[in-house]
Amino acid sequence: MGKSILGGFVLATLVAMIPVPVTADTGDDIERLELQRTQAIVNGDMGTLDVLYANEFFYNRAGGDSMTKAAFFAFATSGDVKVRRLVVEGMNIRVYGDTAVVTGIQHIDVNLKGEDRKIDLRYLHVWVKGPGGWKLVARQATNLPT
Amino acid sequence: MSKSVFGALMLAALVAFIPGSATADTADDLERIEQQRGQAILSADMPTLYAIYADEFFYNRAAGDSLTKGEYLPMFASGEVKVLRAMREGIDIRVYGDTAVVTGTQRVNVNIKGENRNLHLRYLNVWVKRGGGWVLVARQATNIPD
Repeated sequence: MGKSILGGFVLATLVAMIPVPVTADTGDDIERLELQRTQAIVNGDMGTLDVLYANEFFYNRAGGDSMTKAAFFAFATSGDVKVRRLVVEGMNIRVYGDTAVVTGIQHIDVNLKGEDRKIDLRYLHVWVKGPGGWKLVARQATNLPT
Repeated sequence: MSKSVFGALMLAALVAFIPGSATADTADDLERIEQQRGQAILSADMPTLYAIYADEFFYNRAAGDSLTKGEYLPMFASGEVKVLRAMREGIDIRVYGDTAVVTGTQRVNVNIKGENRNLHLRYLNVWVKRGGGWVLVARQATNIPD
């Protein structure tokens, strides 16, 4: 057997032993979920949001208050708020096993109680993988300086 | 044997079979390290701070900017930022395996470049267990209007 063939076998064996790059896949999974969440917010798709948000989810809002999942869903379905456009900039995803930390900037065109506003936020999301898949357990948003 | 004595024996037997409360212990560990972090900031104890903050740590500050560990911690070493007093007002610790999400509010008296300021913040800290200890990988803070 030539050295190159032996080398090929060794390489093939080594490649077969390399674990699946879970982190890269997970990062892609999280990015997909983030996009899905963004789309659901714009569409007011509460069914999808209900699946994506953990029951214990809390949202520390840019106004300084904190909302539970129930309070956030009540707010989102009240008719007081309508997100018209949501653009994410510079999303950064870090995966720690079954937890992912996501940060970035969101530019939002929103109608609040009939008034159109533009909001620029820096956000931090924490996703946790459980028996039901990845769920958003926490979000915090902070206003960017105008 | 009276019913109450029998009940007490059964309870003792059941308690003996309950495994150690890992989650409660972990929450206690996190409470301790949160206190240690606060104390280290007050005393500008840089070795402790460098050990507590992960190298990839980022801080999304209430002003809307985001700092790396290399940008944030030297502010304490240089004296540019001196925390004079910090008071926590309620802390919520949620443990997800080797990750923990901590949120709460705090009032901080701080001197920034010679100017005294009072801050009221809501924060979200993300901790990851690494090498037998917990390190802070991300923090976001938002101003609470007074």
